[in-house]
Amino acid sequence: MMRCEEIQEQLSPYLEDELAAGARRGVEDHLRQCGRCQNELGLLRRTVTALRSLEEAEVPRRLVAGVKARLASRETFDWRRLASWLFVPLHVKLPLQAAALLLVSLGAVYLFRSVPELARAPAPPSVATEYATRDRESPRAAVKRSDLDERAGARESAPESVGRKLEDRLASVPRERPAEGVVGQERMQAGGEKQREAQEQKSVGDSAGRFRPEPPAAAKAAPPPELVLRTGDPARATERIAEMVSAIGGQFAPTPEPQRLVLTVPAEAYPKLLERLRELGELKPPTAEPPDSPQGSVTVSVRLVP
Amino acid sequence: MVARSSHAVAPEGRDTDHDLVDRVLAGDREAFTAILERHQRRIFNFVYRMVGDRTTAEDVTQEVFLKAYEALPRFRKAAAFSTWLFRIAHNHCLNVLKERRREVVMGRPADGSADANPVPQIVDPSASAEEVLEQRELQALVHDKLNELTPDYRAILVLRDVQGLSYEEIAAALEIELGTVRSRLHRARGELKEKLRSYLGS
Repeated sequence: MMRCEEIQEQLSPYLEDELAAGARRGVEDHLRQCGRCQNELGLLRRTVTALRSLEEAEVPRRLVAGVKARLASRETFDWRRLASWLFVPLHVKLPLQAAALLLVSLGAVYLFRSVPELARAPAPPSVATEYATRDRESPRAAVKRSDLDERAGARESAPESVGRKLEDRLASVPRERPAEGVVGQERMQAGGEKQREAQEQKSVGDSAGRFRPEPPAAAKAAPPPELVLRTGDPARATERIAEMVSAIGGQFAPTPEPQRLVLTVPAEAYPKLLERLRELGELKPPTAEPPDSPQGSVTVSVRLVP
Repeated sequence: MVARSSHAVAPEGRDTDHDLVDRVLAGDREAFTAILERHQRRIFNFVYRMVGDRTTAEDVTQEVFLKAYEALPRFRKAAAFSTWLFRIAHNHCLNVLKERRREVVMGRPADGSADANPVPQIVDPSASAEEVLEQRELQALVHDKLNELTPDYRAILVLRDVQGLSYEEIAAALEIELGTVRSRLHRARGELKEKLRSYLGS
């Protein structure tokens, strides 16, 4: 019976005429003697005939129209085909995408380095830090800043772009910082455009000049020494001090603190200033060495105590 | 009766498949319509025998042509276009059948488990009414039994005995070796023969 199973496994190849001559003869010899295998061959033939006689199914009439409609409905279809055409196969697509990413990154770095405005863009937080530092060190700078803030507020009320406002605030920074500010120098070096930077600062300074006199350089260099004047009538004393400072060719500036004044006088008039102050009340310390003043003027802070 | 060979070369005066592909790639969408009209019948019939019902077959056939359109730039002309289409159709059918099996496992009725929308058959007009009836019964029987086979067996029987592809074309369409085509075909026939034994006699 083993023989029949072997033969039956060869019936399909036999029908396909795939058997070698010897194997084919062996199958035919067996079939002549074996009714069971003849029946199997007959059944296999009818199976194959039934398959081959399967009628063709009618194609739905809307099939072509359906495909065309679905193609048309894909709005991005052409772009996808184009992308597919350009970037497939994968071994082309991946290196191209990597190269594109690298180029974009390099371009961004180059742009950042070559445009000083972009290099300055992250500056605002550090400017805020500078303000905080200066506020602690320089009451006069605090006065200037409040003045500036008022004007900045006026500008912000006008319809300007945010970028413009940022630019204004950035431009105002050198005007307020101490003369020959270290940060300003670092910026100029980092930007690599010292000349341009200097021009920008000059133009800002010019515009600032319309609002108030340039602060004495000594005031920018170091915080002024503080004098305490004990007097019975601070309001009256303030008026007198203003007149006195003006008379000796100095400048007078109030601060946000009502009892605190900032005075700038020529260095040679400083002893005279102290003398006049002592006339108004009890001055502490009674004598004070004038601070170093390369520009020839002295700035002191006077606190009025009732 | 379904055409028994795939025509890579078009009759005189007609564009070959490869010509049409070139025209589509050059931007001529009408050329794709020509491809559709030329191949829809064979692809639809293959898909219909694979998935078992007309509604699913129509949808799947449309998707096959959409996929073919998108993949057209990757078509290598070393192969016959029709074979390439059969490959796409076969792969898509396998995906559909896999999805259907998953739905059955999850307890949802799978589309096409019974053909509620039987496909009109093209029958011999010279046959008598009884013969037509008998023929239709046999057709339905073979169709049902085919659907009881595994997708691999079903595909190879449809491509070889229904569509009439050569072993080489089948090997290319199913992406298998020639030897595998032979062995799988003979085993598939043997299995279908067993399923039809009680109907076709011993």
